[in-house]
Amino acid sequence: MPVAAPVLASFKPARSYGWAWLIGLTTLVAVSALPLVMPGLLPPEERGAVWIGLGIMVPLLAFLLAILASLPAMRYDLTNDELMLSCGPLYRYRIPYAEITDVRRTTLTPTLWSSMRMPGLAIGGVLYADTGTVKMCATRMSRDILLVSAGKRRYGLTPSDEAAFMTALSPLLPRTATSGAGEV
Amino acid sequence: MHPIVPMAVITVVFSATLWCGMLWLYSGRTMRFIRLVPLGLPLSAIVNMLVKGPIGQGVGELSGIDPGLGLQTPVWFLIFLFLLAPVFEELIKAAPALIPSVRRLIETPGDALWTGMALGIGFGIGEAIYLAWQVSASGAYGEYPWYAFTGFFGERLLVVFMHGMMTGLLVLIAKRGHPVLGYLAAAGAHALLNSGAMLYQLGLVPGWAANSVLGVMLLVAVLLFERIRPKRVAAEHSDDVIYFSSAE
Repeated sequence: MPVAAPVLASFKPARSYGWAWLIGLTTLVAVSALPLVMPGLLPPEERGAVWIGLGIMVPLLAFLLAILASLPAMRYDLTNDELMLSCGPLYRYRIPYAEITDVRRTTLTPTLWSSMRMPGLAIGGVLYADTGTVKMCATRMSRDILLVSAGKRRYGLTPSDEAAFMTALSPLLPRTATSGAGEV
Repeated sequence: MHPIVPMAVITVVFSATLWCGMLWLYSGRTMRFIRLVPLGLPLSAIVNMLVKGPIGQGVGELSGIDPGLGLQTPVWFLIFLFLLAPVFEELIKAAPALIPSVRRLIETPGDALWTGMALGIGFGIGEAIYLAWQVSASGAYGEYPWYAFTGFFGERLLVVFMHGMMTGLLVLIAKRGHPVLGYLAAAGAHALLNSGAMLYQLGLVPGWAANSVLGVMLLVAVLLFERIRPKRVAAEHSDDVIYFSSAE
C-alpha cells in the first residue's frame, strides 16, 4: 500500500462566492427535474422521456451536490516532489516540480464551451480562448489566476496568500530555470 | 396569478444575469454595451403587436385564409407566416444601432459585435416577457404548477443568446460595409432557428426533432462566436506577473 508523501506546506484558496452560484445552479437543476417526479404533469405516453430525464438529472444533481460538499476541502499541498491541487475526492491533480516550466499570474479568457466554471469558481478541465484547456482548482474563473505550466498541461489555482505560496514553492522548482517575480 | 409568471421572472433574471455577464466579460469588463440592452426590451412587443400581427391578420383576411388551419393552410401562406419573424424581427432588433449616440459607440468590428449582441439580448429578454404575458393573458395552461414551465425557461435562456448572436452578426457585417449581407445572414439564421418549431406546430416532426434544431443552431452559434469575437491581444498579457519560467 503506497504511503502518502509528507506535506511540507498546505494553502487554502482565496475566498469567493462561487458556492452561492453553485447553490443557485443546483437549485435550478432540481427545479427542472420537478416536473419529472410530480405525478400527473406529464402524459403517460411520455413515461420513457421521464426515465431518460431522470437518468440525466439525478447524476447531474449528485455531481453538483458532491462538488458543493467538496468546496471547503479545496487546497494546495506542497510535498517533497510535487504540487498537489485537490478539491475533495473528485478532483486531484499532481504536478511534479521537475515538470514545471512556467508559473505566472494571469487573466484567462473563458470560452462559451460548457465546463464547471462560474463567477468565483472553476474546477476541472476548462477551455480558455488564450491558453487552451486548463485544469482548474480555483475560486476565480478568469482574473488573477496562478497558471502553472508543466509540459503540455496547464493548471490554474488561486491561493489566498499568493506571496506565501510562491515563497514556499519557488525553492522546490527546477534550478536551471530563471525565477523571480516581475512584470513583463 | 398565472403559474407561468414565477417561471418568467426566474427566466428573465437568470437570462439577464448570464448573458449580460457574458457580454461584460467578453467585451473587456466594460458597461458600455450593457447599457444598450434596455433599448431592445420593448422591441419584441412592438414588432409583434404593431407589425407582424396586423400584417399576418391583414393578409389572411384579404386572401380569406384562417391562420389556424394547420396543414390545410396554403403553402404560400405558411411560408409567408414563417418569414414574418425573421424578416421583421431582424430589422427592428438592429434599428437602435442607427441612433447617432449608439453609432458613435461602434468604432471597431468588435464594438459592432458587442453592440449587436446587447441589442439582441435585450430583444430576447423582452420577447420572454412578451410571450409570458401572452400565455398569462390567454389563460392557457393555468392548471399547471409554476415548475411545469421549465421548458419555457430552457428554451428562452438559449433563445436570448441566439437573438444576441444574430443581431451581433448583422451589425458586425454591416460595420464591414455589407449591411444587406448582414441582414440576410441574420434573417437566414433566424429562419433556420424557427424551422423546427414551425414544423412541430404543423405536426410534421416530433418535439425532440424541433428541439434538436435549436441544439444544432446553438452549437453553430457558439462555434461562430468563438471564431468572430475579438481575442485578447498580446499586449494585454503585459499585466502577467511571471514568477518562474524555464524559457530562454
